[in-house]
Amino acid sequence: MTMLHLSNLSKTYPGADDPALDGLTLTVPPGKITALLGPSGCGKTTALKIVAGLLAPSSGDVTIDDQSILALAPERRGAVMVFQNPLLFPHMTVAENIGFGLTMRSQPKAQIADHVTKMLHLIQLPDFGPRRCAQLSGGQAQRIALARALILQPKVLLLDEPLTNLDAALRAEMRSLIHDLQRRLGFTTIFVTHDQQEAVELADHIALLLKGRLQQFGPPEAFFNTPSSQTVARFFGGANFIAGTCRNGVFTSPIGTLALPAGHADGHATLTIRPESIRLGAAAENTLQAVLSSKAYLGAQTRLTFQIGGSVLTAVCHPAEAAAMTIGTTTAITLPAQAIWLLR
Amino acid sequence: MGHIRRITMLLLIGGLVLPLIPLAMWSFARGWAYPNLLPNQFTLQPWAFAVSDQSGVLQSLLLTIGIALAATLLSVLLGVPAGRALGQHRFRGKAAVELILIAPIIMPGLAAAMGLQAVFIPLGLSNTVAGVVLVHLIPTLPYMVLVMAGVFAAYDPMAEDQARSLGASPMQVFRHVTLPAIMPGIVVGALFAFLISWSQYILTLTIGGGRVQTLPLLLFQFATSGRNDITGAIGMIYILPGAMILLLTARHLTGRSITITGRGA
Repeated sequence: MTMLHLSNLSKTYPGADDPALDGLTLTVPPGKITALLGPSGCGKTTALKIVAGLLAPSSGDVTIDDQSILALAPERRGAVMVFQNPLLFPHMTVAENIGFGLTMRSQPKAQIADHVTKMLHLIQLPDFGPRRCAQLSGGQAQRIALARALILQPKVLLLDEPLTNLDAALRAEMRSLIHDLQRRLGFTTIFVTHDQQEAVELADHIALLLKGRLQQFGPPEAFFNTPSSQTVARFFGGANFIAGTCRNGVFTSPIGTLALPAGHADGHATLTIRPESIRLGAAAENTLQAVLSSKAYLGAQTRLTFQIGGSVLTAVCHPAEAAAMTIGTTTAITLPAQAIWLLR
Repeated sequence: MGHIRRITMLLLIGGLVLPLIPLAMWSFARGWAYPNLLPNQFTLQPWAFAVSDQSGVLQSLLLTIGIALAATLLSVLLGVPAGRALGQHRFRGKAAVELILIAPIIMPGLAAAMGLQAVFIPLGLSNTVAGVVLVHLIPTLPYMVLVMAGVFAAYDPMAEDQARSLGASPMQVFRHVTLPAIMPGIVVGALFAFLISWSQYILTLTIGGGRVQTLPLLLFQFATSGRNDITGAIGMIYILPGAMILLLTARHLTGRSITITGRGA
């Protein structure tokens, strides 16, 4: 298994005031898919290019199996990058494109042809070998670009927004293809995306980058259930933030007194709870009386906004359930203790 | 479209081929007095003279080809990187660089050549073939650079990063990715450069000082001495390489060039 480690990686572009990447340290789980998630300009593509060897960092180090790879030319790193744009070479056929890397390694032609045929089957385009690249759709081009990288059996596969240029149906197809291939071939994958949903669906682990800094690293659930900060929680659609004090497992705040799950230290804290975790109706504990102030129909769900004193809580429920509720009425809502998370 | 194409064809033939007919007829003429429509008598004598050692045509032809090839090669070697810089990067003073590059097209070659002569003499380049090759770059290079700047403006350099990442060395990237993509532009630019160098008169005369006798110089000598028959024969020889190159590379001149785009289209 390939152990990829980024250590204190920084990059400031010439002429820029702020670093594009600011002290990123990350051990990429081997044989898994890791997402570098963040809005555009957060440094995620910069990080990817540094690993690929297409960009030199201002400081820090990148190691594969404890060996620094910074001095290695991109073609010797064993880290192959697939760009957002498929960048197929237009003067070559599909088969020549897929075999490009092996041709550069001067492998025997018959062997290359053999591998190319296998890759074409793997990406479910078995008859496309002799075609010209001009005849391809966006989704086909993207799959061929992926095959062109995978044929090299890279130690690390680097994907730059692999799904961004595709329409919804193709995205789902491509996503499951990447997922399947990765499970089957077991290569360590890092992919960059600005789409939180894409990261959650495809990645085993997510590294959230904001303004060049790593905010949180962990499995997707952690970003929903145990965010490290309000910023992280907000990035993942978290909405409810109530300041208060924690003492002996009880949270005292303007909206009332709430029981907490065990293990929270005493002191000032901000309570957060996912909108989808708030239950409508009363329960044995943590039930509050709230005034429904607005409803917003979102299709699969309806978003409800409640007011308790001056504080606002957002919840979501099934649209049918929301239809029975009238704006301005007082309703019982419950914040289950195990769904509550405290930010310090 | 059919009509327009046919009319264009007729105009091209009328403009390019018809004027050559009297020239061709002169090369076979023995005496052609005004106002006769045809020469008095036909002969192969002008041609026999033109291809003989006496005329110096063969020597001039080889020299002209050599100079044009050298000027073309230098134009490609200098023009491709310069075109890349202009086509792909924004930098301070880019407009000034572009103006300086186009200046030789606007400015009379003689003016530049007179100034250059003063520089070339102490360098020992005056009256030499090397000097003539260098001075031919003044008109050839702008065309090469402008063509390559256009090609590189439509070229995505990310393809090179992609090739590096796929295991290609910088040399392999150039050979397998960059070169095939810009080849149509190089062919067009080189063609321009060759033909422009081929037709230089003033610059060759000024810097070559009459010692470097290319075909246009020889042609002019006979034309001014009133030997219309020999001028006609040499004129036909003079046209030949250009016409041949044009026919051989016509398919590269159709304006369809390969560029790397998002969908590989």
